[in-house]
Amino acid sequence: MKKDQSGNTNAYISLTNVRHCYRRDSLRIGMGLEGQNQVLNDVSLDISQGSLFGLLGPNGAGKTTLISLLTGVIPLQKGRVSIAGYQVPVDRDEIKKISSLVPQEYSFYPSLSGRENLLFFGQLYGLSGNLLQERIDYCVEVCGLQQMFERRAQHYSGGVKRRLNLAIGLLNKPSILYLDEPTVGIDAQSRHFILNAIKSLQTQGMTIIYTSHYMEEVQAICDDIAVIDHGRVLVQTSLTELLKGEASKKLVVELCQPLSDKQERVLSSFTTLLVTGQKITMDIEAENNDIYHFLSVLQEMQVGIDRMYYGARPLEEVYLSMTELSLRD
Amino acid sequence: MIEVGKLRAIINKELLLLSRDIHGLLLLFVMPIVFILIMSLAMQQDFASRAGVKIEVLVNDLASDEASRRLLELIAEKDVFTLVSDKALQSPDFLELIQNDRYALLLEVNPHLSDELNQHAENSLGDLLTITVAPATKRQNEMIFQSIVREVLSRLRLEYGLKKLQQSMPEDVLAKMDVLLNGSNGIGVVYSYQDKEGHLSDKQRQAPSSVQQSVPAWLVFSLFFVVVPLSNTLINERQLGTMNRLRTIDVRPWQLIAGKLVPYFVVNQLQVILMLLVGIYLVPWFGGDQLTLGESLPGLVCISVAVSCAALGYAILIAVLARTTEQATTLGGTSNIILAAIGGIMVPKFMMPEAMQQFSAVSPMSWGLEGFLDIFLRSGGVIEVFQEVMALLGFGFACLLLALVLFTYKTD
Repeated sequence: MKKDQSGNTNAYISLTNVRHCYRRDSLRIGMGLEGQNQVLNDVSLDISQGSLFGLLGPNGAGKTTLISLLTGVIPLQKGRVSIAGYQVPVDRDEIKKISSLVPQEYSFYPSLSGRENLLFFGQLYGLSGNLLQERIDYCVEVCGLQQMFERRAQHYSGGVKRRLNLAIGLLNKPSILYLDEPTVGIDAQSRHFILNAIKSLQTQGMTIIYTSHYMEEVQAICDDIAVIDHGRVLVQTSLTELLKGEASKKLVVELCQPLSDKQERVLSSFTTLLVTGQKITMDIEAENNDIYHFLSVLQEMQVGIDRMYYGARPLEEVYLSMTELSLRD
Repeated sequence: MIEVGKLRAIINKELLLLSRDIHGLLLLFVMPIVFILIMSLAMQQDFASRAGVKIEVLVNDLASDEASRRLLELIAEKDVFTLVSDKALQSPDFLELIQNDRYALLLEVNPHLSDELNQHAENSLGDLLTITVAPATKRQNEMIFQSIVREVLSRLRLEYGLKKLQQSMPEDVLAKMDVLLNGSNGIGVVYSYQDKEGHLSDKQRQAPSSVQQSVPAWLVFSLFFVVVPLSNTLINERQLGTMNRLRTIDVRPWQLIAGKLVPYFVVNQLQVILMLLVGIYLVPWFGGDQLTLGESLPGLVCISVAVSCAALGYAILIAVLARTTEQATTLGGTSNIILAAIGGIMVPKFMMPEAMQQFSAVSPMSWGLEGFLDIFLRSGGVIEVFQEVMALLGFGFACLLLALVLFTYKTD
């Protein structure tokens, strides 16, 4: 590995004060009248080797731009980026060899079969002969593509398309894998399969940068997390640290269905409870709390409990509190 | 070696994609064949007279004597109309054949032609001959035939008159009369598409025919239509995100562009071969004229390569300019049709007014068409098509350069 000139020897991927602007499309060919649209604003991140790093943010926050920048799709405008000791953009070709992108879209050729797609992208990675065949066999096995391998990709279900998308990304045996929302629009079974495959790849030493809007997925598989919004990093920490905080002093019970008026009246005797929709929050640190009594009352009323947690907030709640509830473009 | 392998992979992929694009194949191969067949056959009659093909006239010779034979002989000598006689036909058959446009004209010779000529009397309508005109016969052809028949009848009358005077006239006067009747009229006619001696056979120069116009015209049109499948593949790659994935792989931009241009260049050359074969074999099979290719194979290769370069450069530019496949299809298809209309593809240039003919020079399709016509009609070679080839190559490279600049600009 080359020596990292930034001086940060721990970070496998390091971004320092990165900024990026897009020219406004509508004025592109407008005789130098183009405006500026700042999508990354002074972004600094450190990602350690072998981690499964969750990159979160609302639509338009700058996640895809950040990944595009790291994968060389767009050029670095300002700031410093080093990947595995290589500097962007000087070592662009070396960085391309060790990394791979699985885009959010189905980035393959629908009228080619799975085999033809893997052969084509494998050849572009410079593979040939037995080595190419070995890599294809490996990717097909990891992504469970054996059944549909010879059929044209346009006839695949959403789940198989996602798996083919992932398989292409694994052809060059990357040490860094960028996954841009790899489970959008697929059924639970396919999602479960893909998440397991991703976890398995991490155990083999791969560094994975993962973006998703599904918070439960990120909570289930990621070690470290960064939340970005409006082109700025709001937080970067481990998942465990992020989920700790003031919320750890509360017990949260999520119900299967809303409480009836009668049930609400019964619970109103608990002064430390807050009922919002199907969620009941109990302040554990309050002096007069009585968890056991509260739970027994719920049992007596036969209230269905969806889930109950204590000592950590769900990621989605933390995320929404950071990024606020206002709708995004 | 790896770089060549990558290029080969991209070319193979493009060929596979194209082979599975039924609409694209129909557009590139079937559409121009249909156009060539329809236009060659539809315009055959318009070109026929220019090419020396004679109009058929059905003859019903009710006299069948020396006078009628002489009359028909003199009409045939004019070498404008082919006279067709069929003794097995009855009167109703003649009329039916004319009404069905099987022949352009019917010439009925009166049984008393000889008597009428000898009497030297004022003739009533139809006393000597009757001309029946078929529904689709052009007015010009009808008038030419009438004019010829009038001239021949005048001569016939003169011949009959001279015969009577022969015994009382001196020899020298008779000789002068013979010169007047049979001598040259002093009018010279030169055909621009023939050599100076007026013979087609000397240098194999080709008179224009509908197939000689249609094949190169629709060939050029079809080569430019690669804009639709080519731009669609590029735009699909952009829209599907495949282009982004390709850019994360160590593939050079020139490989991506060349990987698209090479297979479509091959497709263009296959189109050229196919369209020429259609002109040589298929059009005659449907009753049209046969295409002749001229003398210069190198010239033909040069012009077809140049048209292909122009078409591919234009296609890449449209692919970069358009954001969606719908935009590309509309922009590429419409602009192609406009360029074709201007460039003499849809309407031959010689049928356009002078100003339109001048304006047609702005269309690169016109340059391509002129290049092919130089080879097919004017015995041209590499030197004769050099100007068109340079113009087309310049256009193609200018489009390609502009496309590359815009492509680079857009990716940021």
